[in-house]
Amino acid sequence: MSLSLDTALLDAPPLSPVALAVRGLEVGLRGRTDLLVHGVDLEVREGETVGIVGESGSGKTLTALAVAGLLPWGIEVRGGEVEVAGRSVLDLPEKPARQHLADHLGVVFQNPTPSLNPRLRIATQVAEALPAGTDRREVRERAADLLRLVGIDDVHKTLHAFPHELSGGLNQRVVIALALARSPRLLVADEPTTALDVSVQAQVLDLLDDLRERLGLGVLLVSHDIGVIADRADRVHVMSAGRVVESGPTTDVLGDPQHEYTRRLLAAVPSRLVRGRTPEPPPTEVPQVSVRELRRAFAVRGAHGRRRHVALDGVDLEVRRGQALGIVGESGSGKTTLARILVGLETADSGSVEFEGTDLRRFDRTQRTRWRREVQYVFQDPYSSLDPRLTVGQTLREPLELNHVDIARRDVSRRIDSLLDEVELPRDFRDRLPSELSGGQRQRVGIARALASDPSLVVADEPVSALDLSVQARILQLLARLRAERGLTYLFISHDLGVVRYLCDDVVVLKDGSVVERGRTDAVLERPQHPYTQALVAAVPGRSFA
Amino acid sequence: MTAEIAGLLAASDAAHDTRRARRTIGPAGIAGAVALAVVVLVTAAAPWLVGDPLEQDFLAILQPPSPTHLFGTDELGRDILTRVVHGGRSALVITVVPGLVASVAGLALAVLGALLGGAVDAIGGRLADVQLAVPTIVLAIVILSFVGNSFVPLVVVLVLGSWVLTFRVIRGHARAVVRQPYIEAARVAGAGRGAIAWRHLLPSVLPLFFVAFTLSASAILLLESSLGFLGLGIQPPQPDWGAMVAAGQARLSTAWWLAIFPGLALILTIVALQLLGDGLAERFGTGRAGTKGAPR
Repeated sequence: MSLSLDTALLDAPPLSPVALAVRGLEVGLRGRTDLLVHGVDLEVREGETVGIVGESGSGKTLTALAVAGLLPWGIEVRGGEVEVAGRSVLDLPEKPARQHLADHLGVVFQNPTPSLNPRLRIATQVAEALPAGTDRREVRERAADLLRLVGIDDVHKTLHAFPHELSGGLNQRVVIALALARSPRLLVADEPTTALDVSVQAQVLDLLDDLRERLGLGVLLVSHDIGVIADRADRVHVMSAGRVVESGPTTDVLGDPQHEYTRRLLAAVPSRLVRGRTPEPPPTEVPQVSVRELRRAFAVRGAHGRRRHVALDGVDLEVRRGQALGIVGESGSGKTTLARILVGLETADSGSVEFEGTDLRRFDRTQRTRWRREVQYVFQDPYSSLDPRLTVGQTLREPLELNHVDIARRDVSRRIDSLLDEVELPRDFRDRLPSELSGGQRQRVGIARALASDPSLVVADEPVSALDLSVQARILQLLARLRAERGLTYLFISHDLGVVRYLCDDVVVLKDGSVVERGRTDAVLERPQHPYTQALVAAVPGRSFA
Repeated sequence: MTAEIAGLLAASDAAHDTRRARRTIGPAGIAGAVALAVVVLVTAAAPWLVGDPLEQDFLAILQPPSPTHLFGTDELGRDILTRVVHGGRSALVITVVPGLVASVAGLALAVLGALLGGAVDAIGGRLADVQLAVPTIVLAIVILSFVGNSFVPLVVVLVLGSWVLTFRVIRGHARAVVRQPYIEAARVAGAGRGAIAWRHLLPSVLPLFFVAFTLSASAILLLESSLGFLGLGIQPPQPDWGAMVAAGQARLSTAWWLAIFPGLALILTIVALQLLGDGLAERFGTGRAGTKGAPR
């Protein structure tokens, strides 16, 4: 081993300087003895990207924050060493440490919009980030240079804009510009693209790659998305429960995972999930839901007074009984508005929605009651869609009592048990509050609540996007199983093509409120016809290993 | 990720005060409840505990506290202890009745506004603005000097002066709750407005209601005493804490016991109310992250 290493060292070009070295980093809650991060070692050299991948609670974000000296109050570094640009930061007193970090390390956060001050123009914020004592004319030049560096074309307009006037992708570029203002040698990027659309995500990641190459930056890239890490990182550390379980060159770790956890994580990637084919449902005369020429616009208060945002611009759609239809599109494509109209949470400006041949607006009382029961909704956010005051049992009781007036009290209790069985939750969970459940468990409760009404159509708006990869995989399997068992029709809304591919037979691609492409899922995703779909498919991260 | 860390911190908090803390009103709340219970019991039992508050004894005028007159006597030789005990009755009745009316009215307006939106909400909001623009004490002086200060006008004035607090506090929260996805989920599950109000909205505003009620009650008690102090409250010779403080204030340097004891009774009752209110809020709140703006 040492012999081959020596010869390798002789041949290899001299290694670039170390931008960041972390040794035995331990992080814990103040006043508690147990640790949240147990002895993490990592090293980032200038000009390379090192990834940390893991699920929520793995300690990846805490590691990044500890490196940047940004741990929130109540969480502290317990031990180990953090060396930024050759200087150990933890030994320094607070002020010099902060100064050193400010000069040598830039941070990019997950969501660009809250990282910027909404009340200051971009120019002011960039000027603030520049080293103190830069003279005024130079500030203006440097600010423009920085924006040009991060690939912003219209520098002048951007400098004079407020953050809310810019798109998420542009804001993230500004945040990166701010991080680069003091020419750091190291960039810590914590989920830098998670809040962005796929196509924008690809652009921002390209920018980070480009900057790394041109400026010789070291990049510490933290992400839950294995695809992003696979595409962008030279070396990767897989974290789980506060420990690094596996690390090495990305191609080795992801190509031939040694640790059990890495293997599980890779198996949970949606595009790798093995799907059981559901048989083609017999074509029926009347589609279960048919949508014609649906239009909906919202008044939004923009930079220059009110304007109308067209969410849906004449959408036609048909869903057959038993079909699983995926609706994909980026944010602003109108997919959520469409879903909300279908379940009656929103009304259309014009056009019609027919349920089993009758227009929603022409329902009589019994038809409306039946429709209310037959069409159910699974929400995106499992945290805010459950009443924090009600136990799981009380939440499930609600639709049972409201929709099945005739049901006896004892039967309600039995139904709750069987619903919990169906979504694979233990029966004693009925006494738990949402705050005592994990995200995946909450989403199971959300699904059980939708099933409580005995629906035939389930509309699900990004039901797994807020969940960790492995949890996501299990929820998807649950949804697939429920569909087969109950013969449900799904209208499944997602930005994740892998998820749609796993669950849906057919897919509709929405862009700016109109359908640009539709067809069988495999056909559309493998041979996209419309340029937008092609771009969408090409932008999906992790194609290198999926 | 920040949400994740917030959750982490919350979880570490929750580890210390888990379910048990959520089910009780806490030591401070218990202390408040006990103190309030004592005040109520003593006040209710006043006729049996002490003598007649109007009985005069000209041989014992302005006596300092002594074993025969624990709180001393006033300028007519009336026993201060007796008067303080009897004065509690008017204070409590005049606090609880308008307090309840004001809080329930505020709650109803706020919840209806949040639920129905539009005109209902706008009217409630405008009414509150108008009410806030008029200083309560001025309103009270105007109304009471025209109509005379009997019980009903007094209650009306006190209600007018205090419903806005409950309304404002609950309205803000209710409007935030109504926008939560779990309310939409209830709609999809088939719940109408009534069911949403009963199952989701009321339980969620209940802790705020308790806080608002105790806050208004203590504000009303203070207001009533101020009116008594100005001679617009309960009329002499009936004992009233505010009026007693007012009467005793002039002799504070020579006969401190005239004003101090009714003042202490007032403070004790107000503090007890506030402690109890905080305790109840703690008991009925989730005290966790989950609803934005939920009271802790």
